Order: sequence, then structure tokens, then C-alpha cells
Amino acid sequence: MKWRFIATEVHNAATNMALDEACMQHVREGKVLPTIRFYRWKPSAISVGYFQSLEREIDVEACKKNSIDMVRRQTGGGAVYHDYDGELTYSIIAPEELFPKNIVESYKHMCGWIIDGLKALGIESEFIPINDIVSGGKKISGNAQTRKGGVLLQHGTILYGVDVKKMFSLLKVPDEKMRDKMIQVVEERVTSLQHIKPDITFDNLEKALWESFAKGKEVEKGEWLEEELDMARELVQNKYSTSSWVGMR
Amino acid sequence: MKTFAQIKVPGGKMLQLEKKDDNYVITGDFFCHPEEVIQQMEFFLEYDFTDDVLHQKIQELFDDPNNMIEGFQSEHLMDLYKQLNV
Repeated sequence: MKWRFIATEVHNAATNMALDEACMQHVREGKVLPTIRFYRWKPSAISVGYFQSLEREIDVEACKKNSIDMVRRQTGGGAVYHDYDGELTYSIIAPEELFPKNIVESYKHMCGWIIDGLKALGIESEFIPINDIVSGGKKISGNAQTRKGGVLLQHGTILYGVDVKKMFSLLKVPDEKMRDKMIQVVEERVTSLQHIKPDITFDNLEKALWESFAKGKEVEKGEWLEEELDMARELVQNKYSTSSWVGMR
Repeated sequence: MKTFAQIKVPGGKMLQLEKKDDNYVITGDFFCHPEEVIQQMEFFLEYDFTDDVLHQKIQELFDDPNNMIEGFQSEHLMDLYKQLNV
């Protein structure tokens, strides 16, 4: 099975999510190969899971004040702060029959590619069900998945550097008096590549992940089809940047 | 009367239930596809079933091999529902 690989791109939040959906549609129709893409978010953004309440999870005013994009994903899972300087995001979009039917087993399968990439950088990590990867007991990658019309989308982040205080300035906390405690707890539970190995560059990370994702596959570097880009533009305008979608729950 | 309840499912995800007038909204960081299954659960919650029948209806959605739900079980949703209907 041949795969298409789209090297790291930088887009705003709505465009990143629209490209995933446009790609799913084109994989479903057999117009493009199963696709792996790497990307970053500019401006930095917060994405919420499909079933999360925007207002309950995000300090919308703080995001607006700090020019932080907000978007709802088509995948479940929790709110994620996508710091432009702090993480690399990937998407895997392919026919679902290529992966285990069991959702946790399929997470484990694809998270294995990330674990192998981190290992090549000298970082030991392990998969923790349902959807996390931890190193030294601390989370270094979160992942989310959905399946529609026979096509699986899994996307996730690998933390390069993490600014927990900035993250918490954008997220709602149940009790303001607990904010400092929550920051401390998250700092104790989350790590990043820069924290573990400060000499690792973004380029090192991308190269290691590219090699581990491509291992055992016939992969060709590819581009978006013009009709994928057209569909993504339409999805940005009519779905991912609309308040009816972003504030759906 | 409570209009909101939530649970961090041990070994699972956050599950929240909000009652707005006679409508229920299920939120959280769980996983479910097809996504419409959650709307089906919300519909069942709004219908005038007995607790036992409601639980059975929701469990059937979990048991359907076409549905994939990770992060909570029918019992957790029923617990939240009962908290809002004491």
C-alpha cells in the first residue's frame, strides 16, 4: 500500500482541521493515497474535542485578547493548547481496514510509530490507554481519533516545549483558587522534548518521526490536490470558522 | 434542583451532563463514533422512560457493534441522569 506524505506545513486552526476533513473525503473516494501529514498552528490555538463544551473548557475572552485561535475538532478527546513553538501535530488519514477495529488497539498501533520516533531520538516512552504516550511517567503526546465512512483519522501532538502557565491562562479552571495547584499538578504530569533533551531541534523531531512513520511503508512525498484545497477553503468558511461549529456544545 | 453533573470516570474520561429546560446535553473528553450516537443518548434521556428502560436503551447503543464508545459506560451516564432527577 502506497502512502502520501505531506511535510510540515503551518496553517491557522480552521485550515488545519479543514484539511484533515477534505483529505478524509478524498481518501474515501480513492482520489488520493492514504496520507500522513505534519503541521503546526499559527497563530497558536486551542482545539476542543468534538463533544466538549467550548464555554466550559476555554476562557474565550482570554483567547481573543491573546489572539489565540479556537476550533472544534471532529475527533473526541480533550482541549489541547497548540503552541506554535511548543509542539508538532500529525494526522494519519487512511482506510480503517488498515488498522485494528478495536479503538484502543488502533491507538496503540499508531502511537507505536511515535514511540519508535522518540526512541530514535534517545527518548524512551510508552503507550498508556486510552490515547496517551508518556515518558518517565509524564505525558509527552496526546492523540485523538474518529472514523467516518470507512476512513480513519487519527491526529495528535508531540510536545516539543510546554508552557503550562500560558496554557492555563487560556483554559477554564473549576475554581480560581485552585489555578496554581492545577498548574503545579499538570507541570508534574506533563513533559516535553526540550525538557528531556534540550539539544533536540524541531528538525530532529520531524526527521525522526518521518522515518518512524514511513518505516515498512511505500511512501511518496506529495502535495494537496487542488480540489482538496478548494474543499478545505469551503470547510473553513462554512464550518470550522463558524460559531455554530466552534460553539456547537 | 441540580442542572449539571459530572464524573471523571476511573480509568476513563470526563463525562458531563447538563439539563437545559427539558433537554439534556452530554459533554466531555470521551470518544464516540459515529458521533450521532451521543445525540441518540440525549434523545433517550429526554424521553419519558423508566430508569430501567432508559438504562437498557443506552446499553443497547454500547452493545451495537457499529458503535465505538470509549471513556465511559452506560452506568456512568445513568448516575449523572439520576443526580439531575432526584
